Amino acid sequence: MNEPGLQGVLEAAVHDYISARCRPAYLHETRSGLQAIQSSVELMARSAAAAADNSAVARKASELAKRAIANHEIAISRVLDDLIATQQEAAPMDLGVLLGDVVEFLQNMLASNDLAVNLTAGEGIMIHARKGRLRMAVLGLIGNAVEAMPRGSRLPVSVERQSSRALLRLGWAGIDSALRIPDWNELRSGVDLNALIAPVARHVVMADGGQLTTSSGTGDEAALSITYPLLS
Amino acid sequence: MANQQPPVRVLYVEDNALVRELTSELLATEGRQVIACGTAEEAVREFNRQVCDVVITDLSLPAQSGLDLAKAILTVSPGAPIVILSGYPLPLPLAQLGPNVRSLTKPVEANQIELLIDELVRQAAPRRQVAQQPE
Repeated sequence: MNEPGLQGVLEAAVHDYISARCRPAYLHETRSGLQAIQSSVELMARSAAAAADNSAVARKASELAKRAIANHEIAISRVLDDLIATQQEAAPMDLGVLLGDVVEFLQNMLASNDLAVNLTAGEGIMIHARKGRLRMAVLGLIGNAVEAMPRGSRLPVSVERQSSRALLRLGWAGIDSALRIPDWNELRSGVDLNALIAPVARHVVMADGGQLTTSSGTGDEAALSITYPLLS
Repeated sequence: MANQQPPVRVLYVEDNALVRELTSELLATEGRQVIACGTAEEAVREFNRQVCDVVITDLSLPAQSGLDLAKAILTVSPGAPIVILSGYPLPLPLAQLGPNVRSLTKPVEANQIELLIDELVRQAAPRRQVAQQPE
């Protein structure tokens, strides 16, 4: 097997692993949409069963039901985009919007792990990258942070302009092995897919002209930085 | 004159405007008043401003989560009945927060929420009487 083929296999395996790990977030996204649809139907049924004339309530419930169905279609499309990895061309994209979307999507998982996210994302920070692959890489890296802090903590995440670069930064207090990029010998000796996320994410970032670096301070603080050339 | 019970006041927190509107409509019946909020911060302000008999919150909220909200409310009112709604069963040991904190998994029928409200209000009846006594 040649090198690009192997990288493709690793990336596909990591994609599947991240998708499986994000199962609670996908369930939450799906069930929240179903909640809106079910509640609108319940409201219509209750207004129909009421003795008084509730036609105004029924009409309102019907409008809300249509909105709930439309919203749910959009949410399910997003879920399918994530779960079915498709080949994409690199295109201009807003890095801050991507980070905001990922944090919103993971909100339920982060909250259930008692993790407080401090999100700072500037607007209009445009880069040229394959959005789906980068989204999956960021999902994987934040997922690693969640696993590194099982007893909850604070997770600062930000996107900012830094001269001619766009900088996405994740910082956390926890086990910094979740950040570490193992070398090839370690991978051959057998590590779980969790440890593969950082190297695959680095490959994804570098393939579109970016850089991914990690650092640990003298204390427990650790940080991961992704930089891309800014689109002018 | 008959001893008429004041309405049960439900503080309901959900950031999804559509779900918030629908659930508020379903829960607001005779004998029940719903105070709807979109964020945990707004909910804490409402909780401190007026008597609330039950708090129902989504787990997933922007900035502070439903869990942060539950902890903030329990700090000022340890016996406050709280229901946390989530899209999947919570891995958290909610029992640590107290017997007055429950969870429901979405999608949930309005009836299920209503039954839980009734149960929690019954449990908290002595506390409710004290809270509603004029000073």
